[in-house]
Amino acid sequence: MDLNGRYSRRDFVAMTAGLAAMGLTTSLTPDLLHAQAGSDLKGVTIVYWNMIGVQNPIVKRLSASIIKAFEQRTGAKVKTTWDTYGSIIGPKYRTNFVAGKIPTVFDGSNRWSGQLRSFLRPMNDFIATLDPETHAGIAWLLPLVEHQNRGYPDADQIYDLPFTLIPQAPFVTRLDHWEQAGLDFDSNWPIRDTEHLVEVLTALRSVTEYPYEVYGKIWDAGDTQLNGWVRSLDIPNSDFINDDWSRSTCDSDAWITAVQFYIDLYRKYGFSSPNTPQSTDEGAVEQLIRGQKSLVHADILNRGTIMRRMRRGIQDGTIQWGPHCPMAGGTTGSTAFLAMSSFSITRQEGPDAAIQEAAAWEFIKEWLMPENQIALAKSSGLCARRDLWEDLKGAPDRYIEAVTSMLDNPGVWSNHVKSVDIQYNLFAPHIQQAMQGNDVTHELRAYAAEVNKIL
Amino acid sequence: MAMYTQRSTLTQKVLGYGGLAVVLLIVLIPYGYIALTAFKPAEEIFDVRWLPRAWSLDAWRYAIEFEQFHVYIYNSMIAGLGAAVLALCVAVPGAYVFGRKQFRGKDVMFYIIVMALLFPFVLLVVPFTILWVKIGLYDTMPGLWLAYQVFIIPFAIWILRAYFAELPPFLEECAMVYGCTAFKAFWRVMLPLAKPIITSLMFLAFLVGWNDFLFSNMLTTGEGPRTASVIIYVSAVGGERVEWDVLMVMTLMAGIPPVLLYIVAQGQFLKTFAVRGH
Repeated sequence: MDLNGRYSRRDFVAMTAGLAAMGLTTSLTPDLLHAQAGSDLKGVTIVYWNMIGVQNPIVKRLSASIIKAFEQRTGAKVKTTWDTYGSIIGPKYRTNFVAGKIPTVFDGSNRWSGQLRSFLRPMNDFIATLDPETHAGIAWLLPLVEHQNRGYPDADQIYDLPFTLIPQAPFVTRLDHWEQAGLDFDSNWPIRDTEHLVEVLTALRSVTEYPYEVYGKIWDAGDTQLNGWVRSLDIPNSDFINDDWSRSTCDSDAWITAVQFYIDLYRKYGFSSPNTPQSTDEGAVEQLIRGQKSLVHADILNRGTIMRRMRRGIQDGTIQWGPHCPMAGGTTGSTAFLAMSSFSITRQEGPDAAIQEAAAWEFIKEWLMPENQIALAKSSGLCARRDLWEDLKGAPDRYIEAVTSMLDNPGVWSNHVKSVDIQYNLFAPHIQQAMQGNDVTHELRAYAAEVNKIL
Repeated sequence: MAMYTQRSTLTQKVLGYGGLAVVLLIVLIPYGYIALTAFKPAEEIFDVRWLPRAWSLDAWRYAIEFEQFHVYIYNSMIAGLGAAVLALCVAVPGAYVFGRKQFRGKDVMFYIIVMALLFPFVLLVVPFTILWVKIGLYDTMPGLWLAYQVFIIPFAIWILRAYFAELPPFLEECAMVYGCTAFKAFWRVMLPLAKPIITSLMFLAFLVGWNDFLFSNMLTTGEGPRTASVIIYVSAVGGERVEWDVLMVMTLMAGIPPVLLYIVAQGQFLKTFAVRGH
């Protein structure tokens, strides 16, 4: 790449060779990225704020190549800002939008965009123009997006279009620890339910002092394994707030049972480290790589970390992914919540508004191309297009098999304007108090009361 | 007795140098580990060992070739230098007036300025962002220079005012007897005397601009002059994972310029403390 950010064919070949060496590309070819340049958007400039996968060098390179491919295909110019989750969770995006500093298109998690909804443009008309294959691939997600936004009068309008998915949360384990513990992997995998989980962890404790980890840190306490356990017991009460967004569900029996088990894994069974109130799945995966953990829950974004630091473990099958398990007695058949990385287009004004919005949509379509969806799925979560999942199966660590098997009836978290407070800022302190020994029921009731106040 | 003194001196020297060596190790060991980790391949990041099994430049290539981190280092340099120059242009004459001149309301005004240091700056980011966008300073280097002054100018005036106030009285009058105007007396007599502390403050002001994350992050996007501290956060630690090797490389690169600057200017810093000692 030269100083002006232009990619030469040589740059591209070098980059894709690197990706291929890491097993990331199957059909990401130069033909795709240097597709015939179109002139329909020549002279159009769009501003894109990107936050998904920015800290992952593989994903960031891939994102940069997709942006360049779009520029070369359409003749449009993209001004990219690489950003972080903190910007949309914190004040930056909201403040910039209010001040008038607004991108044409941005990505993020679509349960955090409620606060920006008034700035966004619905995409239903654009979605209707998708080619049948792509449309069929993502159509299954649209009811989920509508459900996330059920509290808004225009919930049927799609403001966030998913392009990658993060099913929460599969297991990831080390087979060598199972062998050392004398556990038969084939007859014990996948984990059947929480009672079985306790049995397996008890055996794995002979290999590692704390074979598992319960997450207390603010960003993981409320969106990793716990929610799936609640959902396995009681689907209607599994989101943090009820169907009409009028009250918290977290004082329900299902929540109390699931959170009690969550805390018991740490306090009663002692499977989780003393750092539990501040621990994260990223930290646990790092410990798994070092051999200090045997079986943890982790979102599949962590696969990028394992790929960079323990590639051989993936290739020889030492690392194995498996689906989340239900609570013992949980009969709903669903054990997963689905976090989605999505694109949003902002409302444009002025004479160029229509062409700007059209260019933004064209840009989103670039990310939904099969080659790009497959490349993203190999480094940054599951791709949104369901029709491509079969092509992805067969990796030695079976991560696609694990996460796709969790998606028959996944839950989605509400995209309420205060979703960050509800799911994270207010929730985690109560979970941490319970981890310190406070009564679970008391903490959940106190949390529910706080949420009810802000709804 | 002489022998006892000689032994005592030797013991003192051994203890002194030994103590210094321990302190030096405490300071240098983390930096050494950072430097060596920057050359480890990703698979070895968590290996607790000093030297990499296989030396790798992957993280360096990523930081420099792909991230173009040197561009952001340059931005930080400009941000820091501009902030320092702007601050001193305002703070030096301001502090001189507060330290040497008498006028009504002087103390009240001084304490109002210094009280700004007690204000939590995080409260300013939202109004600053909105204002900066409206007046065209968002995503600009002058916008960053101005934002940093919220801290730098009150701090510099606070320190410099005390310095000017402690200089011998009648210096300006003496200069004026020899034909200087009031401005020339300030320019030719007072400023040279204050050179060491001005250099020190300039360095500190530079560091504020160099290290700042809050305003640099809030007041820029990728279209503007993003600084190294923002890029370290965005590229290595600000999401769902930490890329340790990239973080180490960027930390090293960002740490070198201030150290070099300190080495160049350390003579002036020593003079600052020497003058204060008198």
